[in-house]
Amino acid sequence: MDNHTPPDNPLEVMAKLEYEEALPDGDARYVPTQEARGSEQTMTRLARKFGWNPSNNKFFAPTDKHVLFFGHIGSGKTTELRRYMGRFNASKHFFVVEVDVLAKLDRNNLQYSEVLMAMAESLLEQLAREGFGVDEDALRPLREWFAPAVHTHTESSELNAELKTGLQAGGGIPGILKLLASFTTSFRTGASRKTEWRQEIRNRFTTLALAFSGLIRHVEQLLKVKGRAERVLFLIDGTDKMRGDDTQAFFVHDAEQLLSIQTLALYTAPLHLKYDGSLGGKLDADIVLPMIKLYTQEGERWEPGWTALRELLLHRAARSLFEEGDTGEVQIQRLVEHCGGHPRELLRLLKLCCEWADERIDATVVDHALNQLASEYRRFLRPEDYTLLAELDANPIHCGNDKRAQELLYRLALLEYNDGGWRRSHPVVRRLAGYLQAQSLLKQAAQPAAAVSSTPPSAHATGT
Amino acid sequence: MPLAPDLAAATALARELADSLPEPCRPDFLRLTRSLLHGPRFQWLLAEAPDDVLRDRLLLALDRVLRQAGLHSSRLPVDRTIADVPALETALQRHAKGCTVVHVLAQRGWFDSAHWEAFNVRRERLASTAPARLLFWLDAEAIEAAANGAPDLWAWRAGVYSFRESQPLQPLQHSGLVAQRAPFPSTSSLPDVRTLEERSQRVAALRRWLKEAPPASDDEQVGPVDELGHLLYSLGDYDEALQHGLAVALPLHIRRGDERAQAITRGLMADILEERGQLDEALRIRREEELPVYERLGDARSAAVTRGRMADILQARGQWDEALRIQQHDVLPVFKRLGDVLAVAITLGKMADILQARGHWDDALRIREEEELPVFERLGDVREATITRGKMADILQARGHLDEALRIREEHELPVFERLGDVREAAITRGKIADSLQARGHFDEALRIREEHELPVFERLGDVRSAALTRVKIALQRWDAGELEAAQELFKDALAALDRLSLPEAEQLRQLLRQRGITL
Repeated sequence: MDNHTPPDNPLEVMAKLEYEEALPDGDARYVPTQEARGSEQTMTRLARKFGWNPSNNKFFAPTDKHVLFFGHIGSGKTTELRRYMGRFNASKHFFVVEVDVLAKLDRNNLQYSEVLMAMAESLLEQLAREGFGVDEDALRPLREWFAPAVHTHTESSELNAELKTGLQAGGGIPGILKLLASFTTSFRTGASRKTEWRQEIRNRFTTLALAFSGLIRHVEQLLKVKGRAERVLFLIDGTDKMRGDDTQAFFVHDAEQLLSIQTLALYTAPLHLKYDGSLGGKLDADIVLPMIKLYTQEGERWEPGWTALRELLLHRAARSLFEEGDTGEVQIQRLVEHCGGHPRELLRLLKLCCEWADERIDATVVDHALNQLASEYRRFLRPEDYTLLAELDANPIHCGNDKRAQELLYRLALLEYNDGGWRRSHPVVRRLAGYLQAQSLLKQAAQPAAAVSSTPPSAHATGT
Repeated sequence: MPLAPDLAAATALARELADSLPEPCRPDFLRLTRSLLHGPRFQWLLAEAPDDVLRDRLLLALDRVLRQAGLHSSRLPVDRTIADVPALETALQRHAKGCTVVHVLAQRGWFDSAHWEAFNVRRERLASTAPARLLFWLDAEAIEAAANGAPDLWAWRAGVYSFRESQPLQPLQHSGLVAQRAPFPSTSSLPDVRTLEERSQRVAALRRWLKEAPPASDDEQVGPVDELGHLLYSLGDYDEALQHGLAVALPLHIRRGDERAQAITRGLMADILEERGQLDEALRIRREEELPVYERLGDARSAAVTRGRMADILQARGQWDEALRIQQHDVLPVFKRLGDVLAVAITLGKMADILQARGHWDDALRIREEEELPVFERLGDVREATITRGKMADILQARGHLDEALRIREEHELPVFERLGDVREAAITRGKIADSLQARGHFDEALRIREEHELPVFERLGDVRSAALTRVKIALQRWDAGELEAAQELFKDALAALDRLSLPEAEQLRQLLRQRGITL
């Protein structure tokens, strides 16, 4: 960070705020959040799933492992994973191949068939980028798989000649890349061949899976000989942003196809998938990137969370944008508190402040920002949602995990901490009259019980 | 850091213009201008402006601010002429070229959960292929549908802005919706559900603005002038609408050298002539003045639409073979080539209309069941699907299956239109229910429906023709019941209205009265 100077003008801050931007490994704006999230063990747990113990650097990888990585929308999954993968790569145990399905494919109606092709394409691209060549013998099974597909489906096509070039022996990685790129491009652009290709892959999937798994094994041997890595690890990013039906098809119905590729793979996945009970244990599905927490489950202030988020904020906006001394510090703390530990929500509040602020972000500006964000939640919350949120806040052991709770999690009105250890409503929601009313009704209903309860109310749930 | 001169001037102008807006709108107007002027290149912004007049005023003000900053904007009306989200994506990409801001002017109901979900899966691609500030003007329901239907899209929003006010406003500038909208078969446009009173007020406001506003440039007049023409037409003020088209709209578009707008205006005038039964002249305008323009501009879609309208006229003249040929060979292939599945379904529906009118019920029913209805259902177009089911019920009714037709209307058709708030189609359906009841001898119930649920709706909507034809049906029932005086009054009112509009039904009514020996 230390060469990074945050902007000191609200308009400049606003110009540089892009919510969807995941920070690359090494970005100066990155703030370590492991302690703040209570996720010091997340990377270690992830590494262990792939056979690496970072504490003693022992390594013994499973033959194959397909792991899902869950997290709230905008909670920093990609940013964190890139950071983790930097360490994985540096360990020399792993050759990490990032497959950005959003960039390579069409997210609309995405299926395992095209993800598989994108994985193969990304692997070969990365090998080529790092200057590795692959023996013709290793490429032959894949090339042979393509041959009938190309002959069947590209007769009289203008791509025919180019594809047939790719089929010729001796073309090496560039030749196969041409074939793979043809697939992924047709998937991305929705060309008429998309359906044919997809059918072709389904019809002869076993052969393809064997060919691809064989190629991966060969690459791993090659990388090991060169001292670069022992195993290939695919980071498949963007699969947390698929359509609802496609998410189910990809992770549930077609899970067997994913598993038939003998490799190590890590997929980003939407948090609600973890709780809807449909995964059925086929994929490894227990790692969640926790939210940054500001309080412990017992309601005590969690300083690392406050520190990390303050730092994150001040990487995006200069401290001079706030008033000097404690007066400005109070406003920074208010912004941090009301984001609930969610980095994108903090950036959203900052942007709202910049829409209001002439020069400095003061108490009035922060009030406006908080009220505006709260009003955006009011647009979709229903009366019964407020009741559920108030109940969850009031009762730490309330384990409401029905569809409604899942929907609230998905929409960030409910935030989850410590790998799902506990949940709290979004702090700005607690400013809304609907919530306050639900909370008041709940208290009235609980009064007789309170006389016999010794559990103190959660500090985090008292509202603002 | 000082702002660039253009941005500083634009910021100052935004403050000045904010002061002229209703007080509750000022903060969000200033927030929005900040985001537009200073935010990242690509943003997805949502603005809630339930009042069209206020929205138009905001658009005008925003565009002034943007111009001051040296930025360009464009307006993209999103209505039934945009069949689906892929079509919207293409349009957004087109508009984003060379424009900093694209105002997406969404028709009520277009952005439902399904459309938001489809939009959601394209968002990353849009961010790279349509790199502009995409400002969606929506109603509260559409915004709620985005938050509920596509949470990760909602999480991606760059800002939500709300514009409401209590004081009535004078229009300053029309959104340009009408001028930019490619013509499409009128049957496919969502009905204007504003009441007669609301539309009349809008007409008065537009006229006042055109008369009293400081001399506006030709460009600024385009929107209000075109909107006024369409409103006059929708209110049944055909003489006024024709006069407006000839004396105001056409000269304006000719001055501006806007061939497309001239063709659209001429098409509107042809609509009026068609309504009035002046089919030859309407056909001549479409063939000689409208179609050649679209062909010259290379606008295959508008040309196909115009050919479809020509087929409608031929159909009305009883030239069914030729009408069917045009729809089948000149119109349908174009829409298929364009991949416009909605327009394909509508055209197939028109072909089915012709077959149905000729008594080829099996063929018509097959098209409706196998080709038309599935498309509307797949697109989630509940209204068109219901209209299609209504036409299938028409076939059942014509075949004498009165109970089944009545059941479909009561259980499937009417509840949908009521739920959609489509009061016109609901009234039409009630009229058909009354027809069925009358055919089965339930005269009192049929009369009650016409008087209490059909006629008042048409009157409120200012649909003079439908109101007059309903009066005729009531009058006939009253006459048959021996209530001669009441029936005569109704016949008189209906005839006067049909005459006033010079509608062909006036002569048909005279013939009917002669046949029945009724004198007024």
